[in-house]
Amino acid sequence: MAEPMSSHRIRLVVNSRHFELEVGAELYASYTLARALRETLGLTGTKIGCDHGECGACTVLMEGEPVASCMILAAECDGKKITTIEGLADAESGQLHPLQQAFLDRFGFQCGFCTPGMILSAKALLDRNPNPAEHEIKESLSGNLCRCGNYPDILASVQSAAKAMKGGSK
Amino acid sequence: MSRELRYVGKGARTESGREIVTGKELFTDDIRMAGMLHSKMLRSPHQHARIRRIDTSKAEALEGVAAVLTHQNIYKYIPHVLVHDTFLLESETLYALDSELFYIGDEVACVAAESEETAEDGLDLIDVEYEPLPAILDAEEAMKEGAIRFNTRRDSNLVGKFEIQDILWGNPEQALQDAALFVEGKYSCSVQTHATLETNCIICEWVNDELRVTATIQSPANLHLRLARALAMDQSRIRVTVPRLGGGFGGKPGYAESRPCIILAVLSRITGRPVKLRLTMGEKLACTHTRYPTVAYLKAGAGRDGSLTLLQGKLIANEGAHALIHGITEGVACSRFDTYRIPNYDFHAQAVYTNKVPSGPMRPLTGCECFWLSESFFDEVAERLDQDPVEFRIKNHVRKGDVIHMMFAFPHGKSIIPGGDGPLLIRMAAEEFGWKARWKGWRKTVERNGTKLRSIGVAVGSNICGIHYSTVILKVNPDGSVNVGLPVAEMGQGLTTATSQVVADALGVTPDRIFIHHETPLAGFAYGSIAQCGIPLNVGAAKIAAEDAKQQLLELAAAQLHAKVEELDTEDGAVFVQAEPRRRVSFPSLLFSHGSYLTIVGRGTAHPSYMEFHPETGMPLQERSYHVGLAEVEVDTETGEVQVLRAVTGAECGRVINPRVVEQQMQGSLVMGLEYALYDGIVHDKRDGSVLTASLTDYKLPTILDFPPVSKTVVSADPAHAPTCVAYHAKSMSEAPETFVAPMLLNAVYNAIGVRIREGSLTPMNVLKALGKLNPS
Repeated sequence: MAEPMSSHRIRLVVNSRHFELEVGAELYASYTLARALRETLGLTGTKIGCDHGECGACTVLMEGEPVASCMILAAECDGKKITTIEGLADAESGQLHPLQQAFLDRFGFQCGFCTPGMILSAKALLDRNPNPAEHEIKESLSGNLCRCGNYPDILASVQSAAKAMKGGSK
Repeated sequence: MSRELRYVGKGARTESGREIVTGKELFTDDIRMAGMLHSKMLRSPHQHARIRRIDTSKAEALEGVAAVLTHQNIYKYIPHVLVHDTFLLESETLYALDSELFYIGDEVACVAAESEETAEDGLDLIDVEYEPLPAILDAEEAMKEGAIRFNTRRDSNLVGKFEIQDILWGNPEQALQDAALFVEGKYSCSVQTHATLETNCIICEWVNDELRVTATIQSPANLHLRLARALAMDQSRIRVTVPRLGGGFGGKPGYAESRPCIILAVLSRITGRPVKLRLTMGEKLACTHTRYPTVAYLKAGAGRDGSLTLLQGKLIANEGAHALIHGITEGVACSRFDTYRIPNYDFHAQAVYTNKVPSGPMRPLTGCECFWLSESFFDEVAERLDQDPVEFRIKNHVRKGDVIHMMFAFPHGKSIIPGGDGPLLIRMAAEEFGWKARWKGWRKTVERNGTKLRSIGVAVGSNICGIHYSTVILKVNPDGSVNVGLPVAEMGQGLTTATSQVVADALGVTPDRIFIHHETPLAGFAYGSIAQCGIPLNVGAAKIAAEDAKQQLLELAAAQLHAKVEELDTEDGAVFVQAEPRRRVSFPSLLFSHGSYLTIVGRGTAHPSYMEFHPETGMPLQERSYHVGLAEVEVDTETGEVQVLRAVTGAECGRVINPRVVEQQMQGSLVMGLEYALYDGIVHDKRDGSVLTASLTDYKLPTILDFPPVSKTVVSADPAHAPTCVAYHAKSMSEAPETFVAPMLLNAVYNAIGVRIREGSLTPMNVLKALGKLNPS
């Protein structure tokens, strides 16, 4: 329902920026995190595919863990640290994160719609396991669908990023 | 003029990469406009019904609702005319909004409101009284005399009665008598759908008297044409822009979207605000078109030497409630069965309307359906002839100079293959696969691992290389940068990259100076990113336009460089004297003359091969892309599960414009075809035809874990194989790579378990049934 509920504010840290949003004014109480990011904060890099937690296109990192942002109400995210695809490249220099660079260099995308979610799922994996085996990469990305079927190139992109990141860059 | 190609043949992807990996690329749903309204469709809960009464007053009174459209008020604003144009012979009775509804999910009304949430609340407040009408779901039932009509205004459920749906040549009766061997069978395939992660989305906005449409469509020019007709407007006052698509595969063709787009255009007109519609994944899966549920009855005759002599067949395609492109289904289906040389033909295809969600194009239109059926059948024929399935295909595959069926080849329906070498490709792929060493004979496993059986299979595929003219307009700006108006979509198939590569070489500029616009009307008509038009027609037209612009630049430069046009060439945005490369003038210098700036406009129109004619017979030529696949599968006879262990897929490309894009198309098609062959697909409720698989939980898509562990692409790349293709003799590479995948797996599973599954896909349940381990009912 679109009914605004009684006013309350939530605080979000999105890509290291602090936001204080009024539920009922700046976002509907019914807004999922995905919609709040897209509609309220204008961060449209987070894509909505199925809107039911099935496709992984809306994946963002919450406290470093990949979550389907279409399955969480924004109002429940008070105080959480969120990373979206817009927060991956260096804000000052614009230098791409090694995963972004690898997806660019190794053709990790076709249409590109699943790419933001795919990169964020891969980031969560590499942050916790910098040297993943092939099956670990596949397991970690198995919740992110790529309808173009670009899986071999996605796998190669993540492997290439893992290699590059061992050079010390994060 | 010929010089080394600098960009064509290289593997870099040039388009949008940085924007995509940073999330900055704007897809249609990402576009925000001031004052934009959101809309939702009310959809029919009945398979066939008439709206007796519809009351929208409560919805209109809801705060935040801006307008509601139904069949009762939409025609105050637009003419009450048919939406679809005539593709071939007959137009269809289809209105933007209708008082008669033809399937569960058909559009009843549309609400525009301040938010999606409010629009949805508005839908709940529309009061409709439906009069349910008798409905028909089964295509073969619907063909019978006296069958229930899917539409009360039509006197038949048959889509059309066209010459193109019949092939009759040679002497089938005689061939039947003479055949050393006669095989027959009935086959049906499962139903796949596009399930693009980006669902269909449209935004309509009026700026003064211009209608601006931003939409997820593969063919802006098609939508453009239909909108102008339906709204009784000049095409010049409609602009259709296509942002990058989050996948297409035929699911966003442009003609299927004309109805919602007309509705949105009217809503935007009456509210004075931009209006957006974004389908939910549930709507996409349940209410938009799928592949055709298709059944074929096939009979073949062959000589003792293993050559095919006869094909008799009847194909029935369930068109659903609307024919998206009227009359095309049967004609295209007919031309799918002649990948082999067969001198005697008696073939009939019929599309049939039912009260089911429409069927329509998918990578490629009827292609995977027909190759599923035909390549299963011809595999049976090969076995009955006791021939190696690879050798059988090499022996019978069509070759350069052969006469084949062609729906676009009016009036005689025949055409000639101008080039290509399918048999060579099959040999190359079979060698890479190691077929000879691995093939143990029909219904023989190549390995056994307890209850798991392994075997191998092969199938071929093909498709035409584009239809309709494609016209591209190219501009060289005074600063030397280049705009290309390409009225087709980029949806991940790499068309933008390929266009940049070809234009860069043909014009003599670097790809970074080229910007490509996917919109009308500032580009000409093109059929779109459909029917494998991309490389041969759209990129082909861009090449011709670039050459046209180059010629004009050379003529301008001749005076300045004191040289003849023939002595000049271009590179890196400059014209130079070939014999003396340092004598050169840059495009910007050329385009500033007498104190004035000048713009060069290049125009290119490419035509499909069937508009060229064989010099001796006068028959049209038909360029086709050829494909083949070989796979090894493992079937778990306890669970019925099928694993694809390895696959070699082959493509005949003519010249390869971009090897990485070719590889990506082959990979993507392999896993999409794997889904078609192994998964349930779209499941319709037998009682009312509604789609039961309306979520990505129920309509399963392959994940990264499902990709075959070993796969390799073999490319036969010889420009001489594509004589009619103007883009440096490059063939299409986008749709046909899926056509062989399902039958390749069906044939491999057959050899593993020794039972052929002739109905539906290789789901565990169907495999166990085939093994006699489950009750067939």
